[in-house]
Amino acid sequence: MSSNWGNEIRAVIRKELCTEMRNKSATFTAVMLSVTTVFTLAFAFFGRQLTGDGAAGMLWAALLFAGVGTLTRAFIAEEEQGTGDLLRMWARPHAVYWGKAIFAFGQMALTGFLVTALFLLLTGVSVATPLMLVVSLTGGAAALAGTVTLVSAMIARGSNRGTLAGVVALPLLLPLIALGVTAGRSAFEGSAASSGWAGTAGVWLYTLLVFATAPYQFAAIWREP
Amino acid sequence: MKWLLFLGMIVATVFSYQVAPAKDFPQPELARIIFFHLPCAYATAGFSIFAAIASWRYLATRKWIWEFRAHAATEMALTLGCATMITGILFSKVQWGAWWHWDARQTSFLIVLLLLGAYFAIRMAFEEEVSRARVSAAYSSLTLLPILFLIFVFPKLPQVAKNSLHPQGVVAKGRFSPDYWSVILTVFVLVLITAIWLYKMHVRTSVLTQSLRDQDGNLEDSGRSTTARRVDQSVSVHE
Repeated sequence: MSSNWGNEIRAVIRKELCTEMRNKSATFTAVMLSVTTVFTLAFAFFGRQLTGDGAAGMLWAALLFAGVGTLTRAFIAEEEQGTGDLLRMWARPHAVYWGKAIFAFGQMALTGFLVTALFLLLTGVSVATPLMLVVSLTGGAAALAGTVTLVSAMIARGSNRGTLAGVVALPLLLPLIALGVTAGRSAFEGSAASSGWAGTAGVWLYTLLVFATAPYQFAAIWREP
Repeated sequence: MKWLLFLGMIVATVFSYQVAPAKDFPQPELARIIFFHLPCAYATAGFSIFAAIASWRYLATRKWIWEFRAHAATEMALTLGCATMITGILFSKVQWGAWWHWDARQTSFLIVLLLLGAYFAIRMAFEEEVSRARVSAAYSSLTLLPILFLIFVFPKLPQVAKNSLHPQGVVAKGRFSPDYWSVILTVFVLVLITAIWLYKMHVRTSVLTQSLRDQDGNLEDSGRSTTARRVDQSVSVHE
C-alpha cells in the first residue's frame, strides 16, 4: 500500500482512467445521455422563445440527469466486477473517495461543457454573463461529482440500484439545482447580477459542504462491519 | 395516556373555533387550519434534525440505540411532514385558489419529504441489518444540511420570498392575536407529546425486537454446538 494520501489518490485516479480508457463506456454513456436529454428538451421547446429562467432550468435538468445517470456507476461497477474488496485492502477510504470524486468531477466537467455548448447551439439562447455561467457550472459539476460518488457507494450493495440511485440522489441535489438555476437565469438574462452571483456563491458553498462531510460518511460505509 | 391526549386534542379543536379569526388571510375563517399546519411543520423540522443527529451518533458510536432513535425519528418526521403537506394543500386551495402553486415553501417542504422518503427506500434496499443501519445512517446524516437549507434558508432568500404566497413574517412579527397563539401553542404541545410518545414506543419495540433476535441467535448458536458435538461423537464411534 502507498505510504501517503497523495500517492493513493493519484493511484485511484490512474486506475479509473485506465479502466475508462479500456472501454470508454462511462464517458460515452454520459455524453450520449446528455445529448439525448438536450435534444429532447430542445425539441419540446421547438419554435418557442426560451426565457432565461426556462433555459437555466432546462440546462441544469440535463446536467442533473447526465450526472445521476452515469456517475452512480462508480462503485456499483466495483461491486459487480468484484474489485471492491481489492480497493478496500489497497487504499484508505478517504483516498478512495477523493480519487473517485476527482475523476467523476473531470468526467462531469467535460460532459457539462459539451452539454452547455450543444444546448446553446440548439436553443439559440445567448449568454449575457459567460463568466457567471462558467463559474456556477464548474461548482455544480464538482458538487454533482461529490454527491453522486457518495450515493454510488451507499447503494452499491443494495437491491434495485438503478432506481434507488435516482430516488436517493435527486432530492439531495435539488437544493443545488435551485441555486444553479438562480445563477443560470442571471447569466442568460444579464439582469439581477447580485442575485446571480449570490446563487453562484451558494453553488460553491454547497460544493464546499459536500466535500467537507462526504469523505467521513464514505469512510463510515466503505469499511466492512 | 392515549385517552388523555385524545381528550386534549378534542378540547383544543373545540377551543380553536372559539377564537376570533386572523385578519391577514383572504378567507379568515378557513385559516384555522394553521392551528394544525404550523405545529406539524415545526415538529417535522425538529424530528428531522434529531434523526440526522442520531444518525451521526450511530456512525460515531455504532450503538444500536442510536440507529433505533434515528429510524423512529425519521418515521415521525415523515408522518408529521405528510400531515403538514396535507393541511398546507388544503390551506392553499381555500386561501389561494389552487391545490398546488409551486410556492417556495410548498416546494422546499416537498423536497424535505422526498429526502425523508428516500431514507426508507434505502432501508428497504438492504436486507442485512448492519449494512442497512450503516448506509441509512450515512444518508440521514447527509440530509441534515439540505434540510436546514430547505426549511430555514431557501424560503427566506429575498428573491424567493418576494414571489412567495406564504404569509411572510406573520409568525415572526407576531401578527396573530394572543388567543390565536394560545391555540397554536396548545396544539403544538399536544402534537409534540403524541409524537414523542409514539417515537418512544417505536424505540422500545426496536430494542425488544433486537434483544429477542439476540436471544434467538444465542439459541441457534447453542443448538449448532450440540450438533457439532454429536458429529464428533459419531466420528469417534466409527473409529
